[in-house]
Amino acid sequence: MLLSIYAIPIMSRQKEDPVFNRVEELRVAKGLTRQQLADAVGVHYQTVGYLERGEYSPSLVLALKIAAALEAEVPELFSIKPFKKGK
Amino acid sequence: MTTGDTGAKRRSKFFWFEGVTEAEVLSSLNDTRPSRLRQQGPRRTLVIAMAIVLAAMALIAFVTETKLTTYLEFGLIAAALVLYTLLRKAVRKISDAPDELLDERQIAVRDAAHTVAYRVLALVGSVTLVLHLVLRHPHDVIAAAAPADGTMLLIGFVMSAAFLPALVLAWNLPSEQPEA
Repeated sequence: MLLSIYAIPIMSRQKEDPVFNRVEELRVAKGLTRQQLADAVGVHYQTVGYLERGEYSPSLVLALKIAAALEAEVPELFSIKPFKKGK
Repeated sequence: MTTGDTGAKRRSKFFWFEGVTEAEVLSSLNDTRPSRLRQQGPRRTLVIAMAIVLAAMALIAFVTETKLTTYLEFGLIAAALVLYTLLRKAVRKISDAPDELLDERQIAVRDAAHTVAYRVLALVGSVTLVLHLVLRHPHDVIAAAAPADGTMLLIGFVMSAAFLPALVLAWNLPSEQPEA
């Protein structure tokens, strides 16, 4: 019983489905820095960086806040399929 | 946002459970200066160094007490504290910060680190305890190697418990990128 606890991989990290985003593209188009966007949506600027690089998937609330800050709709910003180039 | 400038006039709140002040956490979170410590390579080097120091602290308990081992013990404790200070800087004190000072990503990575740290601590603690009990058996031929007292083991365990979330976080976090 006790041993079964240690059968769990100690450093395992569950693989998540990737979420693609155009946050950086729209942020730059609006002339905002990461810090300005972060302040607008109430997160740390590194969180915006991780999010733009696809290393973090935001909660629905944060996605909605980012969409509002960038004056876009959530599906324009986030997708579970890669965005087409130039779109 | 909690990571914003709180102003110098405001008195810094002390979080008793986490053992940090609001000012020190915010100062670390708001630090935009580039630091090599926040890149994954140097951070992982710190983690390995700390793991070696903690392992040495546990092993030295089984060495016969001499003047040299006493100096070594103090040296290891000092090294652990220095490395921990650097590790906390490397992870922006996220591992010790309370919810109200963090955003949703930071809370998620902190909680994930605490979960892994608990598992590691349970495993290492159990193995150390079993080893200690085996070595202390009075009829065992290796009884002479048993630690005279468990002070260093206890210090090592307490330090491991305190440092492990920062170690796990430092190992797992990707490298930071410049602000702009």
